[in-house]
Amino acid sequence: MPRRAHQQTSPSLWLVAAIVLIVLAGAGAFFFQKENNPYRTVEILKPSDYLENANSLRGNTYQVEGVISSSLGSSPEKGRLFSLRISYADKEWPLPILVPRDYRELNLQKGQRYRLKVRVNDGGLLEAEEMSKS
Amino acid sequence: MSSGLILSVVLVSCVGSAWAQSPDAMSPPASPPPTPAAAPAQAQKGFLGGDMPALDPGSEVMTWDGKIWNIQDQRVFRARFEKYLNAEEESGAEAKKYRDQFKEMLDLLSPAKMSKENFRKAWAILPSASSYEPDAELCNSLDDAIFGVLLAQQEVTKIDDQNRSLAKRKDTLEWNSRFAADSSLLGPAPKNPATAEQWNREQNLKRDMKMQPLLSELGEVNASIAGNRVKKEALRLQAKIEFQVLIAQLFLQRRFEHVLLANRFYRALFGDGDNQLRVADDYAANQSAKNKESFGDLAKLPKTLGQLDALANEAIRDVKEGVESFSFLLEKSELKSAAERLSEAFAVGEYLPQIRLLPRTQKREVLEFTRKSNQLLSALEVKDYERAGTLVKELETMSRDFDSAKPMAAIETARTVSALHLAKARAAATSGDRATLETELRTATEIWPRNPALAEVSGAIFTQTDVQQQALNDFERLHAQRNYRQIFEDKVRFIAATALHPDKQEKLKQVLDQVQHAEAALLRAAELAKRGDAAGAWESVERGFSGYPDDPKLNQARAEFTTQAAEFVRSIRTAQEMERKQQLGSSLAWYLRAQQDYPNSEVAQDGIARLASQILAP
Amino acid sequence: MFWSFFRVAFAAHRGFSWDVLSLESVELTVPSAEAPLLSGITLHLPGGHFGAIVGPSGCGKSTLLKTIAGILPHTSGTIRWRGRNLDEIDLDPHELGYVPQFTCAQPRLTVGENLTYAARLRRDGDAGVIRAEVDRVEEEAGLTHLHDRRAGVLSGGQLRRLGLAMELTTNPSLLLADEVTSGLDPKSEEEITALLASLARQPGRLILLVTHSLRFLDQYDSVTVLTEGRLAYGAHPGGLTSYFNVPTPEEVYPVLGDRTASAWAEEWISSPAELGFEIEATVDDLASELTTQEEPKTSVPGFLSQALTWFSRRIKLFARDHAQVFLQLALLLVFPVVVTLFAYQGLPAVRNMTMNPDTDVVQQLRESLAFTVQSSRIGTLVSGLAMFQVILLALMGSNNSAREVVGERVILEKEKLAGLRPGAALAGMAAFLSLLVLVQSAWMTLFVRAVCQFPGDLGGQFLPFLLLTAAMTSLCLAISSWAATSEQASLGSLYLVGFQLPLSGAILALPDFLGWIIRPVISAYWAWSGYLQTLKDTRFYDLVRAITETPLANGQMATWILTLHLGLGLFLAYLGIRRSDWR
Repeated sequence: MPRRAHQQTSPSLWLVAAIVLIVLAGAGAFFFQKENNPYRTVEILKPSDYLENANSLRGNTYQVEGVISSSLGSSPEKGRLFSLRISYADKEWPLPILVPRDYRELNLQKGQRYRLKVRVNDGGLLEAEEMSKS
Repeated sequence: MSSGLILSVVLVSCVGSAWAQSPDAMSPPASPPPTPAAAPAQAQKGFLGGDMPALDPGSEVMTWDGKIWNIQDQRVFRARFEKYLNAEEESGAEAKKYRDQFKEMLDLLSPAKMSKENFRKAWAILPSASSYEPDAELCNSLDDAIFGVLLAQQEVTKIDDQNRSLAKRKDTLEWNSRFAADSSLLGPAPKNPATAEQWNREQNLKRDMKMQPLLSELGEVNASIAGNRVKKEALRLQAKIEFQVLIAQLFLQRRFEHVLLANRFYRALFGDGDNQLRVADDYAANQSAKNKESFGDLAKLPKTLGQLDALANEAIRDVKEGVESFSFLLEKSELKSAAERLSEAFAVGEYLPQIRLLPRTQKREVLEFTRKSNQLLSALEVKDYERAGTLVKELETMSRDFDSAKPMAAIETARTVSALHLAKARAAATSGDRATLETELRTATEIWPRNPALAEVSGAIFTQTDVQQQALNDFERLHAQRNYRQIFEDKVRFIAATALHPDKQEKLKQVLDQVQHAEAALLRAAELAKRGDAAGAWESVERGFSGYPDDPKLNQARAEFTTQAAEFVRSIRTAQEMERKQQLGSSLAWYLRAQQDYPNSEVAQDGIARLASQILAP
Repeated sequence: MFWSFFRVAFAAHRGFSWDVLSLESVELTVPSAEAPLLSGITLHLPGGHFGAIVGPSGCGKSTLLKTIAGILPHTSGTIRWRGRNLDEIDLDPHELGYVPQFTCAQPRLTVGENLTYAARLRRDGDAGVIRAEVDRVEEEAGLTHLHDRRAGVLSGGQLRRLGLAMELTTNPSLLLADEVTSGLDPKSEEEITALLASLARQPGRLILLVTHSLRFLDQYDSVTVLTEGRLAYGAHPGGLTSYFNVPTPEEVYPVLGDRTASAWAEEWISSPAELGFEIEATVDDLASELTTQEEPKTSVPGFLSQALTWFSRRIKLFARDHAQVFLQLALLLVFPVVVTLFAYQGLPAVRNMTMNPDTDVVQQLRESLAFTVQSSRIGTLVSGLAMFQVILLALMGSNNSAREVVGERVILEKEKLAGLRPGAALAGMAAFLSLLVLVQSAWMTLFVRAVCQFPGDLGGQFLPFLLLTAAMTSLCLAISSWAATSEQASLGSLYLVGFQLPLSGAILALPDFLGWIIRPVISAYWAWSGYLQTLKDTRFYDLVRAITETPLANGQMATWILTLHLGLGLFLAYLGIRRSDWR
């Protein structure tokens, strides 16, 4: 047993420390991932599917992530209609998104990147249920 | 001579209408000839009662029944006359034989020699005379008529016999009935007044019954006798009338010699002194339609056969004189007068031997002249004044007494007036006054159809009009085919053609606008395509396409650019289809996609705006 | 003679030996040296004894002392103290007093303070007890008149006495003094030697002095002569000259050179002369010796007490270090100002692009370009401001703790030897540093926010900065605890801070695969991300997003990772403090 005046750190301690650190970091990453992508569990919308036949997707909920590219119009009752540019399969797909009145306070500007949870409504249009900047 | 003239005129007038019925008439005279002339001052009225035809010697114009015409203008007449002039004289053996037969018949039936024997002889000659062709079976008709009369007489005799036997019967019946009336009582009368009355009645009844058949038969017999008498009369009259009709017909047909002959026969048959023509009076209403036709104008005929006879003789004499004068004038080379004389004579007595036996040589001389004058008349009629002018010159050389003044005057007048109108037309043409142009041209054409200047002017005008019309037709055709591009190619021609048609001009304008529009679209598209902007080119073509979908060039361009900007076009098409299906979300997405491919796309922008407002509508 | 009898009588009894310290064939070899540093050292020394270890330079005197202290581990042999094998049961902190050659007293503290802190670290007791203790040792060491004198202005001899006094606070049974008399003027030397001799009179106390001076041989109870690591002589100083056949003691060293060390060692072994030194222990001494074994030990103070002591000591030292105070203030005040220089007029307003889909393309492109320019301007500004703050805070953090441990390493080792728990020392340091961290991060956040009118949640902005500064401080503390020299520590800290900026991805985005590996260890990235997340609801966030490809971590994640960094730093610092690093 080493004397008190001669303390040293064993290498195994280093290894254990490193492992613990990684585990902790990983655990944190896993738990806090939620905030990064709150809609992680929601299926990602494939723009090609939507363009092909929006009707078949009616009623479903999806997540999309894209950049706001332009405003297509607004009405006090229905909300605002935007065009969202989504990158998928190495191509840019512009999709129309209806942002309902509930989000009327949100300052939506061109160039902002948003992650949305959308629902395909009866008219085949994507309605935003939740949205957050990404 | 004047009375003869007048008479001949009368005859001619009759002839005129009768010609319509005569078998060898060419065609019925059409409308009254066009050359109007002043009504003759000496229109005779009241000769022989009624409205008589009259010739105005001054103008060679006849009036009759309100109608006015020039003798010589009767085309039919002219044709017949020419034919006559061309024909050989009838001097053959047959002709001679025919003449001799006629002479013989007339002789046999002359009043001095009248007898049953001669009557039969004359009657026997008729059939053989009819074998001569120019006789036109008239002798046969006469023969038939005579036979008819004789048949009628036979009938009458038969009726007489019948009546005699009927009278006998009547006597018998009368006696029988008297007897029946007397011996009708078959028993004593009963005592009882009532029964006596009854018995009387019964008796009377019996009597009546006995007498009835007798009386009725008697009645019948009387009626028959009366009827027979009437029948007899009717038959006689009928025979007379029919014969009279024949004679009148012959007169109307200018067969004067036949008239004379028929008259003689009539006298022989109806030697009762009654030679009144009853044709019109009593029978006009009752006669058959055929007869009525024949006798349309018979109201105007002389009333007695004797008169008819006289007239026929007069006509014969007149013709003779005419022929003589003709020969005389011919010697003098006064062909015109000679022709006139001959034509007058011919008009009256065409069938008379004098006319028939005129030598051909003589006729030929006149023929030429006549032909020429006929041609002149025709030319004047058809208003070929140029030819008329030529003919006048020829006629002048031919005949010494040809008066060229009048025709020339007519020609010159016509020429001048036509030229005047033509000038007016020209003026109107240059000024664009279409209405006046047409009027003047028409007038000029009417006046002198064969005006060479006319051809030239109208040629020019009509060519132009023709061209214009052709252009208009083409325009209408192409428009109906919707071949607007062709119209556009030829637009200069069509613009000129539709200058005076505002409605067509409007249509043309529309068409040109459309094609212009399409051209502009194509041009723009080509520009864009050059810059590599196939999507923009396609859009430009699409815009043009909406205005004029049938344009082949646009179609071609459209197909081309659709291939080049395939992605963009596909996006637009899909978007439009989705929009139709009311899949707003998808449609909008496709429009956005299209806009991404081609940011300047108007179609995409419009689509987006449209869908957005639809989606956002409350 | 009487005692010889005792010696003989008791020598046979194994369980009891009147030797307090005995070394049996102690040997020390190190890989770096050919010959062993110590070889075949056998010594037996009683209590109440003042022994000297002498020998020419490099003979292993200090090595032997360190070996006895346990600073250097002997490779073979046994060292017993009061019968127990020190390899099995080490000396109690209070039993041992080790006075190194160069005094490790804090120059800024007064004699009294030095002694007080030393006492407080080593022994339990309230202020009164401590005070009494301090007075005692001062008296013992003859420093009473210097109680309020700054250690920095003491003379050499005074300093040596101070060092000695510090060790005496625990009343150690074994006092090892390494050349404490060397390099002093003759008077001081004499004084110290006399002091030591007097201190040794206490029953049960063994004082070993390493010296190369042979002037005061008569003071010593025994003399151990080493030569080249071997024991040449170990007995009463009187027999020295006769053993070595030299007229005067000064001539021993030259004579030593006549033979090889092993020869001398063999000779000593072969001639086990009487130990020679007279045990002038009275019966009382014996009795007391016997009872000394059951002497109640004074306990080491509790963890918290030690931590507090260290903390208050640190504060006092900081307060006394005017340069350091000035520097800290300067950094504290200047850095935020430097940051705000870039946006002292506040953050510019953001011009947005038109969203109308049917503006024509050229217009759109122009706007897009203008927006890009603006993005790069404003976005860079905001991102830059955030990162600037982060970097400056990191700098401050490193400055806080870069020399924290390394600057007081010897004192720390000595105190550890005297019973200071490494954890307590760390806690005390951490407490002190926390104050700095708190003030620095708070001031930076508030100042910049106020001047530049940063929007966003204050708490959300403060926390990442706080954690970053703390993490940086702790990591640099760790570096300091592992570094051999101050320069090394400073350099290490510098590199740590220096790499934060380029590897954070704020300026240039790292390639994806590298980014995922590197970013987790770059605290600046997390702090920067966490800070920017508070701007998420503003347009600035969008602009920053527009100009950087580096993904921005969310606030919670940033907090977690920074906490991990902080923890890591503390853990490493603990290990670094715990390890023995005697110069």
